[in-house]
Amino acid sequence: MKKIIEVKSLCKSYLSGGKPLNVLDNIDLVIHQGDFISLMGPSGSGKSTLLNIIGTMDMPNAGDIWIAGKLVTHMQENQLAMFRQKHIGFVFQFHYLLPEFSIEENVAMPLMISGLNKQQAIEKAREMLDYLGMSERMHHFPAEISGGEKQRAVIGRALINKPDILLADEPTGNLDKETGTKVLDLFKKIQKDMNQTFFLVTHNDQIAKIAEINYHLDSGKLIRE
Amino acid sequence: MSKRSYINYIAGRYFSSRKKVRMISTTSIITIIGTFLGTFAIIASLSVMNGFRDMLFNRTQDMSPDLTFYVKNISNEARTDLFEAVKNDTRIKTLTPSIERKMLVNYGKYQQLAFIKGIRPNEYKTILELEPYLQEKKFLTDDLAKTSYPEIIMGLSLANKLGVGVGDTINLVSLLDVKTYSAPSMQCIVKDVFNVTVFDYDYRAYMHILDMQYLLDEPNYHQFEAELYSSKDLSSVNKYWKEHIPENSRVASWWEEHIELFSAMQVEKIATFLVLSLIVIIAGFNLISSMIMLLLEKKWEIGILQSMGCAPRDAHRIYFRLGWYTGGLGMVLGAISAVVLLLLQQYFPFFIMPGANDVYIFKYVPVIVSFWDVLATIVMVSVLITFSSLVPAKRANKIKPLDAIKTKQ
Repeated sequence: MKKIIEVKSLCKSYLSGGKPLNVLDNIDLVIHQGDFISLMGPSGSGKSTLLNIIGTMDMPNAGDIWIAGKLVTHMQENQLAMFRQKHIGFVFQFHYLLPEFSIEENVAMPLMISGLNKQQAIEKAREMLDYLGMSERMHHFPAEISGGEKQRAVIGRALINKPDILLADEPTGNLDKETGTKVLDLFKKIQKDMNQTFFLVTHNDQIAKIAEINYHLDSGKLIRE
Repeated sequence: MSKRSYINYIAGRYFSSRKKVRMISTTSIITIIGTFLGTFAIIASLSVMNGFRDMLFNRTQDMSPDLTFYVKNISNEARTDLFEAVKNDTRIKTLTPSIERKMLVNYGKYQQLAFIKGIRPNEYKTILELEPYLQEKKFLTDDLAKTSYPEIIMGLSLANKLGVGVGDTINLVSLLDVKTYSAPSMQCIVKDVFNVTVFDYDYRAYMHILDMQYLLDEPNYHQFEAELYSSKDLSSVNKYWKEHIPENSRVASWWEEHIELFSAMQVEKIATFLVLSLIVIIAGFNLISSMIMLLLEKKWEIGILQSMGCAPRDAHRIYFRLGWYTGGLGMVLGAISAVVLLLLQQYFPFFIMPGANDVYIFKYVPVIVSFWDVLATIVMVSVLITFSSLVPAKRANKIKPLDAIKTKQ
């Protein structure tokens, strides 16, 4: 299987009370195309930090990361942004839809950023929203739809550029149990339909159950369960 | 969609959308109003100053010869030779001698010192465009045989000071020519009164050169005044005669005679431009504050856009454009409305000058719209908008996506 992400000897520490606090300690990780991976751990264990570093939104203190065969740890900010545009999709705990733009515009935004013309981007966004069962909501604004619909729109936005990996940080953390289950079902459907790679950070045992590979972060060490 | 299109698309949406924090919309509107007023005020002020300057130019040209040769201190022979030489210059249309002296003008109990010029009326008519400013359109009689009394025409300011009108008789006394116990004097009848609305000219008087020569017992001329066929030749003719004029005499163009006035007007115009620029500078500060408030409100959105692939330099461009949309809108509206209104005033005057009937002979506010003034204003306002937009844009450029997203949590 194609190797999507490779992390080698990754370390990250923060200063806490004047002393360094090792959050990630010599992490090694390989993610292949189509993997559905969950990462669990107690609060403050460094789960989100690892996800953000893999997503190039944060930088490690040591170690290297290859995404789609490219070393990203030495790239400049502008290069990283272009890299994220092509290779990475994000789903956060909160929806973070841009309030001034309609749902279809929000979903089309990554395509527009990558340089596609607006009309084509909107057409592709509509196809994506149709796939996600949100055609009727495409002209609505974020403030006009429910929490579950917002999260589905965010998933559409994360997938629209066909990223190599979708990184989700507590994707159901802000949803009720029923809506959360629907979102997880949607993830499985997407994995099956598109052979999409997922890396999910969660407290939710349900996600751990549907994931094929489960990791646990404990005292900065990554442990496969 | 090119990169630029998506940047414009986002900046345009941010600009047109209703801001969550009403204060941001209010400060943005104040910025637009500020740049509008600043741009309008600068263009309007400069155009009105152009109008007044043009009016003053015309009055000065009407009342001045193109060139004046000052020949009081040269020999009779040199004076005659110079007169003949200048007269033979084919670029010169009229050349006429004149005498000028500061004299005491008496009328009843009133006395005033004023410059009186002795001229040849018929020749001088081609130099002095006094006709439009004469109250009764009566100029000096050229042929003295047809007059029974020396005639004089005087400016309205001088006439008002003396309390004289057309038909009154005044007494001229040349104090500079006092001999033993008496000064030469002459009674003259006021033929007409002119009002050029320029104090310097309205405090003068003109009489026939022969009357003046008789009064002063002065057989020589003090100066020759020349009018050219084409004003385009002024600088070359002036230059030529400056090089060929005899010692102890000099030549000056009408422009050189009033250089201090025109320089002062130019300095005044530049000062007005700079002072009114303060309005735009204040609007620029307002632009910076409203953009930074907007940036704080939308910081997390920049973070999310960066997570989707928007580069920091694109965030910089979004906020730079947003600043320009706000400041630029005011500038464009200000420039367009100023130019349209001022051109209407220039070609179809409608704005009446306050107190026009009492003080000025023109009724409407004089306006001349200059392309270069409009361009200079737009360039200056653009530079200020650019600097003001760069401040929030640079801050947007430095936003770290993760920190920005956390501000929403």
